[in-house]
Amino acid sequence: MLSIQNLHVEIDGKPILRGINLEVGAGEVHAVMGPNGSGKSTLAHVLAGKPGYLVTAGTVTFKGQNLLALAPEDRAGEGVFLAFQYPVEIPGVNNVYMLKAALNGIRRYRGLSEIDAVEFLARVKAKTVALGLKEGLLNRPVNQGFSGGEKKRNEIFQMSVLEPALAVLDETDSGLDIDALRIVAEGVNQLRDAARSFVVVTHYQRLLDYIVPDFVHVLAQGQIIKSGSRELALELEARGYDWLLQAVA
Amino acid sequence: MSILQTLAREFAPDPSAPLADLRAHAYARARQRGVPTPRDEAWKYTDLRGHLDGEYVVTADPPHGAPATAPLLDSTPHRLVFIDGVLAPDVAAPALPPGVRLRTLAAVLAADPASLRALMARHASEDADFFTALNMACARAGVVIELAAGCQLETPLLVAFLHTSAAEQLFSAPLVVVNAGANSQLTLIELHYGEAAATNLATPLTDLTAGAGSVIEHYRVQLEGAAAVHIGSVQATIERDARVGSHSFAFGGKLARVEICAKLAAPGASVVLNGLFAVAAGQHIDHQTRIEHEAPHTTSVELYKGLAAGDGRGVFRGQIIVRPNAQKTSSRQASHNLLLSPFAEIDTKPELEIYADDVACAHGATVGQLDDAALFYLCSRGIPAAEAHALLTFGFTQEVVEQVAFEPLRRLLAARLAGSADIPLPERIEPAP
Repeated sequence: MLSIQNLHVEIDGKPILRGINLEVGAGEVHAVMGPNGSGKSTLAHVLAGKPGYLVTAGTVTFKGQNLLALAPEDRAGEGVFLAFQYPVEIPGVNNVYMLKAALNGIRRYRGLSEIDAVEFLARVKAKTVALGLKEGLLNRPVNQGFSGGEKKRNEIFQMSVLEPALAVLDETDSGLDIDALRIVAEGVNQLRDAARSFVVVTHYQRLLDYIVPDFVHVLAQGQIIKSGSRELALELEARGYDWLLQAVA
Repeated sequence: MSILQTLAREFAPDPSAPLADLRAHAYARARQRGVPTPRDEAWKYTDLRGHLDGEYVVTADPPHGAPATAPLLDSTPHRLVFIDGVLAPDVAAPALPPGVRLRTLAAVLAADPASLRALMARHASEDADFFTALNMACARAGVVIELAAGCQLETPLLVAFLHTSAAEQLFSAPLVVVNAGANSQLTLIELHYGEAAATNLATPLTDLTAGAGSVIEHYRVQLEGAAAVHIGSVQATIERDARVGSHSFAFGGKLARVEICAKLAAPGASVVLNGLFAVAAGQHIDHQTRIEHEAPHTTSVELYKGLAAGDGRGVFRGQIIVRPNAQKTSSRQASHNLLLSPFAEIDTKPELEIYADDVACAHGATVGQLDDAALFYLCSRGIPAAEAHALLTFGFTQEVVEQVAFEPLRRLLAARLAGSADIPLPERIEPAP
């Protein structure tokens, strides 16, 4: 599904990613862990097409296509979704209106007709209940006045309505209390199936108690220095990152 | 030919006309003042040269019917419509409730001119600027609205000044006078609308007096044609515990300006000034607001938003004056502006003059572009870039538009914003419930 090869990325002339290789198959959940400043968020941003990053080498192939050549909205059309670490507040734009515009943008990209209003509202309603999102938030401006937990829940809500093929979660657990974490993880788990893949970027093992990954990768200084199974995450939790960094050095 | 030469021809004082002495005085005042130039502080960013040189006439001949495109006319039963400066004959408004008196300016001048003496003397005084004096000298189309104490008019009252694409270049100086008695309540929509090809010059003046405990909501909607020049003024005096909401929406004209002055004359008086303007290529729209806190315990809240596209230019100047005795004044002012093109310009200038020491005043002004982070957020959800731009621009205006309680007007504003070729906005707006 997703194939990242020898990916090098710079910001303002400063190298951040220095040769990432990652293969994500259909239905797999990959956790990307690492200390602060290792390039985790950069990887998530580059996959979604955020401006300001310069890819100096390497390729990213998604469902056989060169992902890096596509505009952000076209990546969404292909099925990529990024859950933001810091969801943006958009005054004056209604949450549900935005979501409908997004869904219809994706449908038009795929050559489908726009969604029926009744069907859309039914889908939204069902997901709202499943994620324990206050219905009042739906008709508020996007993320405006939302608590930290509500913003993250809103990200997962949008994801569950848009039903992406590849969801990239950028530190979705940061700033969440344990109840919110459970609800967010449950939202992700409900979407897990044989066709849908996840890249879960996180600093802490905690999230992986609830979203159990198939693979764990450790990112440090712009490279994946170790890959393993879920046990690697538990080991990191017990021993921290330093032993690994020293072992590589 | 200039506006003053036109006046000399058209307004040769007729000593037998009502209030001829005051008209002549105002005319002399205008001549003495002369057309403002950018050397005047208040006209620093708005240069009138070349904009007042038409071959103006004061009545279109023959008169035209209402432009088919004029908005809002069917949305309120109580309305008074002027077409090219002439009262439209088809006014068939249902009877107004007792306590509301609605008369045309012509009717007042014919039957009761003395009632306008004080107002005219005030606006033609030594302090009067050129356009105020001009209006006092020339006003023909207009309306005088009086509310008796305690009278509350539930439905909005619409006063519309429509301009057709008449062959002649029409000059009009509409006058709107509102006297709201104690504890009365009125919503007034003042519409200035021109057909696309209208080349008129309008210098309207609105005088609002909010008696003790009264509430006036004033919506001023400026949708002149693209070649029109519009220079208007709103003067509000707000008495004890009274409230005025002034909402100015300006989208039309090649050169347009509104001066809004609110005097908070007694304790407990408050004013809300909202404004939204959008300039497209070739347009210049200027707002000058002035809030005078003359008494203690007075409150003002002001929010102006501007959009500029193409090579359009917007101006906002917000004066707030707190007199020495106006202790416990609370005043908040914000001017936020969005540039949608590298050739657009918006000049915003807050001016606070505070002579009292126990006051709470805050102000902020910004001129910026669409937020890149928000654009990326929307695009990452699958919204095409052009649509994301439109959504964000629309969102930017909502803080002001949402304060419009009258639904047909809110819809009109959304449609008008979306209708500008330069200002990309969503084709379909679904108002928030």
